[in-house]
Amino acid sequence: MKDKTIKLKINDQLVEARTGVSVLQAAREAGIYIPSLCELEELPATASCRLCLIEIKGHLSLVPACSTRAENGMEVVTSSDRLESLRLATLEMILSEHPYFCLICGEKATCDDLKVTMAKAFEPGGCVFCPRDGQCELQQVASYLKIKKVSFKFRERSRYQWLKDPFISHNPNLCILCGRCVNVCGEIRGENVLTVVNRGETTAIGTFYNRPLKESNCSFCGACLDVCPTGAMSEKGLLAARGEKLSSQKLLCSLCGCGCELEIESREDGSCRRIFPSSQDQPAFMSGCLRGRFGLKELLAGYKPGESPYLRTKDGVEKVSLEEALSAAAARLKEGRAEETAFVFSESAPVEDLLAFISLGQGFGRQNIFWYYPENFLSRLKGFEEQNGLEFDYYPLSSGQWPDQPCFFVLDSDLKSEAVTLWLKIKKQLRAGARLITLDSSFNSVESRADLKIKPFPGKEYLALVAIFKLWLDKQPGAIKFYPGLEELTGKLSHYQVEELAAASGLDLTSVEAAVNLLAGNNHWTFILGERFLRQANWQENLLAAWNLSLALHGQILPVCSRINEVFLAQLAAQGKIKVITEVRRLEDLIKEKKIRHLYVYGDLPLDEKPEFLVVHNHFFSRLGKQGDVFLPASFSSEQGSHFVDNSGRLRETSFWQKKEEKPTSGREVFNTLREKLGMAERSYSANFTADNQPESLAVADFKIECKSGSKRYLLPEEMALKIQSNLTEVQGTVSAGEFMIVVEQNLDLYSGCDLPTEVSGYNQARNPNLILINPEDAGCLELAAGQAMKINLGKYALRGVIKPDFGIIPGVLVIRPLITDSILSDLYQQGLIRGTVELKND
Amino acid sequence: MEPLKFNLLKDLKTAGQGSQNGSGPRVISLSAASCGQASGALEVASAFESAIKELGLEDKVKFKLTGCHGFCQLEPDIIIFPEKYFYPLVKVENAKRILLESGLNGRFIPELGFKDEGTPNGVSRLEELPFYQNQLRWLIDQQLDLDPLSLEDYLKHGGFQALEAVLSELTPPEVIGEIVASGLRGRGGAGFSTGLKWKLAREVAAQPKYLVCNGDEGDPGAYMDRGILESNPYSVLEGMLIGGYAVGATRGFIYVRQEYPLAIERLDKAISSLFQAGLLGEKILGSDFSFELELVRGAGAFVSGEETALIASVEGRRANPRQRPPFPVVSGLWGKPTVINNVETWANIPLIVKKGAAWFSKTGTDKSKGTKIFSLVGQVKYSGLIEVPLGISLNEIINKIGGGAKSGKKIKAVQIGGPSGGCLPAELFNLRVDYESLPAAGAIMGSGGLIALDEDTCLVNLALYFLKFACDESCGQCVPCRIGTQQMVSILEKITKGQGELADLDLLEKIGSTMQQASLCGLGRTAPNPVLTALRYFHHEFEEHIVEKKCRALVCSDLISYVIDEGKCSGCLLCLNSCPYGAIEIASSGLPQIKLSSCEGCGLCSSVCPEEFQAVKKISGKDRQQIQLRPDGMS
Repeated sequence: MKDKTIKLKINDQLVEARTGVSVLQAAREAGIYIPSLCELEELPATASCRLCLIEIKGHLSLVPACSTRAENGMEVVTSSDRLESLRLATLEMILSEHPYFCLICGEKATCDDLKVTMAKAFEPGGCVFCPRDGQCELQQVASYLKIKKVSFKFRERSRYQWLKDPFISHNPNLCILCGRCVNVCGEIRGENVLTVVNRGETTAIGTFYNRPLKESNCSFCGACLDVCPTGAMSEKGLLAARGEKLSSQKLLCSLCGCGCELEIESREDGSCRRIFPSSQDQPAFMSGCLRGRFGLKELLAGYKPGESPYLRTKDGVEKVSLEEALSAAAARLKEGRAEETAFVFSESAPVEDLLAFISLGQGFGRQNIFWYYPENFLSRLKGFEEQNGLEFDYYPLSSGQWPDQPCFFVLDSDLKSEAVTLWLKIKKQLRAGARLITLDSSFNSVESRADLKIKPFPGKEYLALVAIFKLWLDKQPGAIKFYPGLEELTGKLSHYQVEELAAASGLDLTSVEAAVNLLAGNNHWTFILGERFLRQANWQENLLAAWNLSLALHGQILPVCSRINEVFLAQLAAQGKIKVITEVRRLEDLIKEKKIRHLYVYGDLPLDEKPEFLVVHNHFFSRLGKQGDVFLPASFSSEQGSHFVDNSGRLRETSFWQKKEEKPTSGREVFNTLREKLGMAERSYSANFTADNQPESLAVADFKIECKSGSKRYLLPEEMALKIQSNLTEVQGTVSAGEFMIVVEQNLDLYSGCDLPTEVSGYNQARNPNLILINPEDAGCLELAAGQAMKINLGKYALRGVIKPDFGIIPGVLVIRPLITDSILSDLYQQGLIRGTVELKND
Repeated sequence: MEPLKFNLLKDLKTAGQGSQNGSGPRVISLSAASCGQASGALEVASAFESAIKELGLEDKVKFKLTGCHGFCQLEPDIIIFPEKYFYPLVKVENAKRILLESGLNGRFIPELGFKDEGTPNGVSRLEELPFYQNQLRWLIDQQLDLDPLSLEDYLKHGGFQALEAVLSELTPPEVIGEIVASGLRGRGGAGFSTGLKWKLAREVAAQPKYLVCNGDEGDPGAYMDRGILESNPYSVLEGMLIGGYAVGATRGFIYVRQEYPLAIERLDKAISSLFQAGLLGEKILGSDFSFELELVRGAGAFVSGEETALIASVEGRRANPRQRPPFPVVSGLWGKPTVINNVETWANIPLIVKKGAAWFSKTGTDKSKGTKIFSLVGQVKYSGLIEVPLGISLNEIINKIGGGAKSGKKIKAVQIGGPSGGCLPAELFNLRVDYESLPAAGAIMGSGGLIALDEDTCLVNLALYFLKFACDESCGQCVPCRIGTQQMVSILEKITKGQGELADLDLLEKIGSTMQQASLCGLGRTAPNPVLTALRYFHHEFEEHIVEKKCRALVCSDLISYVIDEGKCSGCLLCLNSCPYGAIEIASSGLPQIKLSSCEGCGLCSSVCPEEFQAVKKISGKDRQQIQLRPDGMS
């Protein structure tokens, strides 16, 4: 916390406050309550509810405390007859539009028992039927102001509720138009989906042309639910909970690398009422997304811990006890030869459980322990750095600190879907004047917020970066920071013209010029690399071009890790403790060649080749699980002292106990039992990682992307120079009719083998993995309309999907986000960019 | 003709020299702003033009399409210079005659001139018209013979001499000093000192700085800004150029409401001609001053005229006002210091620079200097765009310039300042029109709407009209304005329907005072003014509506009935035949009678009754109740 630097008087009480805070905040921190319905910390003040009006000595008129900065020596009165009567009148006005009968009802105190209020058809007639009952801020303000009557005529607005969307519903009749949802949607999340529509008495919250949210590019982050002071924005299907005993627990979301703290509100029977981001350390709307809050809720609700282990027998599948399943698994594993036994895991279990699994695998030798890491992102980055003897300057994300006026250069990363909390931090900086450049050949949901968006042709990102570097070099050679190799690089680049580099990357000169102007005019650049930047054939060139540019600016590099535990596992891989498996095909080959006969998969793997003996150990009875000889259910609950490592490398504790589960079995327990059955010594995997051969770095709290020391120098190897040369002759955008460059984007909606769009009802409407994004002009040429089915031919394989025209896609490009459920898709995903032809799906 | 182009300051000086020597052919000036064109000015113009061509008089007379001449009800009108002969309501068939006799030979044609009961002998010259006599037309007199589209003509009228003087002789602080000393206050309504605003903006360190001209004139019945923009766009642009130099701004925006297509068209042409002439752009006339201007069209919301809402609108966002401070001079467009002035304020700037602050501040009151343009409309005899010295009494405006009531009925009130202003009763007509006296009486200066109301106006109904307007135009953001206006409308509707209670009047006061104190922007804070002033000065009318169910102006349809005056009725039965409801029957006297139980109050009987009889009359209150009580329900 910053130093308290100013002093002011609030109601004759001397209060210290930090500079820059509002009077309302200063009062709140001093424990003085000023009613407000539109203000929220971190949200830009709109001063629309007018309840927080205060008197300031020396001011003629009343001012809102929320938008008035606390100044040294200020004398403030927050409560007086005049203020309270104004507040009461204002509240009466608010209540003349919002059902208020319960608020002023004389039976209020006893109503919980009597439940006498009647509901009007389909409308909450009073608070008892409102999903927000008990948590409603209007109730708080009404009770503070002790309102007894509303002297104005009640105006029934009779507006239609929003019922077409999944997860979120809006009841405009409960809306007090505080504007928080619009504010959080635009200013905080950068979505700009919600807006205020109409004027006067018809003013309402709406969307562009009043389309449903699912047709308005809403990401269903749910932030509007977190900020709504009333029940106007509520989770779809959520009912009032009056009289119910609710309890809440914390859960660290492991569905992506962000590791958001979620709060799970459960009913007495242990069922989950709702999930929302925790507001303990920061406002709830500063984290969370569709996956965690809505996907997980349904998974928790639908997940049956009774999904028992099973064994495959000659006659089919037989449900057995865990003990029996483990014995059977141990017996077969014992039979096999150690070198023919492989242990493969995916990232989504707590690190303790992963370590226990690795340790179990080590009992079979160190050769065959694989982390299935389809992106191969950090490994490539670090491998490249080491191979070339470079020393990247990584931005320490875990520090949580940005320099003053930071600038961001985002490369092929759709931050909103890959690391939403990072995006929210950046968005906050943007509000304070930070600059943002995006360079993305594919769909990018944050580029509309950027000062400059650069759209090179897929696979030509490096050419765009070289063009920028070259133009800068031409214009202001002195501004380029000096490091060894600059002269050589300058010499090599002198063979190229900026124009031809730009043209070869599919850009016009103006965006290159704009980029140079922005780069040269600002400091503190962080180069944010998305996994897509390195998941393509030209990844080395891309990385090198970004590296050279970052050197020239003294910039830092921040790789966006989209998976939980990614930083930690990459570290283990770098230390040689585990191997990374990226292409499932290679594993399949080993199985075909009988080099792997026994396979234990912890988590999920899009494997199509079944080994002789397969153990699948997963939360979900996934596609692979159904093929297993032994299936072991993994528990959602985690013991005290379980940890995940988030995308900043921080070790984050989690403990969650699903109540309906009588006896949760953690991975550790399962693996210890197996060890026992396999005749191995028992091991403990507690939070302090005391076991012998644990990686040393586990002793410290956080993980850093560390490397063997290298140097900072400019680099342009001959191969790359040649590649540039050959690319210059190739003219861009020459896709023949129907032929497209297809970008295979990451889709994190496949969680541990669980296909969220299919498993979670409504998810598909919010985020459909079958969409094929296309430039609207291309769609027009092909006479393809939105929502139409379409087939992409990839030689021996065909992809089917539904057309979605989007202006963020450049001509000649298609963007798909398939869930990688089989090895062929896995293969496409590895390639990142593929060529294919489009065919209308007539069958 | 080659477009004008200036390279150096001295070019500008020479361009203006020796132009106004008054010699040359007579000028026939036709008023052709939007309202003139709507009254057929363009047809008249083509009649003149073809006649000139036909008779080969191109060198002998000069025909000019100008902007607004001010006397709206007599448009299209023609003024012939230098004599200033005035012809009202000019018709196409008279074009040739006026051209030959007055234009060519300088003789006035009395039968085409202005004449009314006040001037039975007719009036030949503009300055003899009572409407023009009591005005002080510093700004709008120039419009009488100025071609709004011609930069050359503007230069001939002394245009850009002020800019030339500023750029060649004055430092920015000196310009600001001059404006401060002039005592000019914002003509948009709030009346903040213009010079001080500029000074504050200049002192803010942040760069770049912006200027905005607020031309989002939205008050019903007000058209001062349109008048200037259509008739003399260059004066506004020159004012902004001077402002840009003084404040240190490099870019200006002129925000004009979309509903003013002619103003937009003329401004657009004026701006591009200035770019062409080298008066806008980089390093203007060889000086170090660079300035650009951009025209922004409003999207049709009254609230966009509020300065912070206007900023949002220019930035491309929804026109929602925001809480001040910070004021736009500190944080305006894109968070940069921004000076927003009204059209009329900008138009005053060249005048002040040219004539000097001392000269300017001689006119007006202690704290309100210069002149103010009003659009005088309503039940006065003469209506139109007027310019008067500040400090003039309402009496002079209504009775001298306006010529008193049109109908012979008494003017009982004047609504000043539009939906944000108030109704002042005839007893207060001695009130001086300035920035202090009007607010003290509950009204505001506003941007210059002035509506005279006679006894046929129901003050309750009028208050309802303005509140409905404010209610529809509220941005909906803050509670007191959005809901307060709604509640006021519903209460006033109740009262006009005769369903009001006396307690409702207290409720109106309560809402009004909450809105005044708690609303976010000026729109909400001033929206209750029409109701509160009506309550203050015409409380009896409200009480009559509530207690006696009487509308003395016979306007509120639920409180009036139509009856036939047997003494006046001639028994023609036109009314009986036209009544769509069959509510008129023949009484024993043989004359028609209205059966109240069947009457829907459409008023058709009243309108068909021949003027010489005027036998159908409206009654309200006690008379009406007595009839309603009669068992036969017949009037």
